[in-house]
Amino acid sequence: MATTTVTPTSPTPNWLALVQLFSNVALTGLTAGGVLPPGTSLLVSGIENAILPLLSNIQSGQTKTQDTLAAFGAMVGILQATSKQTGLSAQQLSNIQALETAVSDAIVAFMTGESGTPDLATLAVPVPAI
Amino acid sequence: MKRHISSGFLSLALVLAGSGSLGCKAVSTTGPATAPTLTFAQATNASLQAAHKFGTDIAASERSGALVLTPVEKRAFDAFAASLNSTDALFIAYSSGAATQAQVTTSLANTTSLQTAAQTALAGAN
Repeated sequence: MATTTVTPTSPTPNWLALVQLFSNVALTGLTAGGVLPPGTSLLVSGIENAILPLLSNIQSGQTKTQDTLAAFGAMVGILQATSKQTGLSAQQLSNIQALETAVSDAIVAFMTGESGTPDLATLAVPVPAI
Repeated sequence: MKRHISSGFLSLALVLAGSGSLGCKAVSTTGPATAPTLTFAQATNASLQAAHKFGTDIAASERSGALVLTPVEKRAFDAFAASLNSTDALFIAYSSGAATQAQVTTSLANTTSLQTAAQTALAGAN
């Protein structure tokens, strides 16, 4: 078999974990502030727990497209569920929507990046510091 | 449009998750019906493209005021961006034969350490 597996040091787990962390930060603040009702918190936790085994697979080097997309999709699900809550301030909703947009765009970039010639011109433009 | 894309991928993810490690049904996982394994270059490119898009979106949202981050969150993001830019440059060199896969792998390992530290700081501050 001449297949090449992705090494455990693939960039995928690093940035997926960061996305998850940013999502968690948003959720933690909302839960602590009483914005998320208990029922929704459970739902969000359930979806979030679904991501963990996927991240575990990815981090163990068993990187598969399905795992990555499932993790992306679950993150989008968490953010969408959260954005439906009432009682969110304008800035909280804006934060959630910005994260959702970033993750959705990343999904498209991931799928496009899997095939064809690498778009090195895009990678050559540095991500700015903030 | 974005919503449709998001919902579509969510549905796809749930279907995939349901047929994989998260499923409750006794679905057989044996057999060769899996997606082809990506090469190092394909997988790295896909991940870097996704990370790059995520990073540029977050930076643009922060700049426009649509996303407000705490100082600690900003430092965590900047560590992520710096390490990503470094790995991007190495991958570009790797693509032209000017760097080896081992060098890219080493850079990624360094990225992992930087981000782990940043994430720990971020988690502790929130």
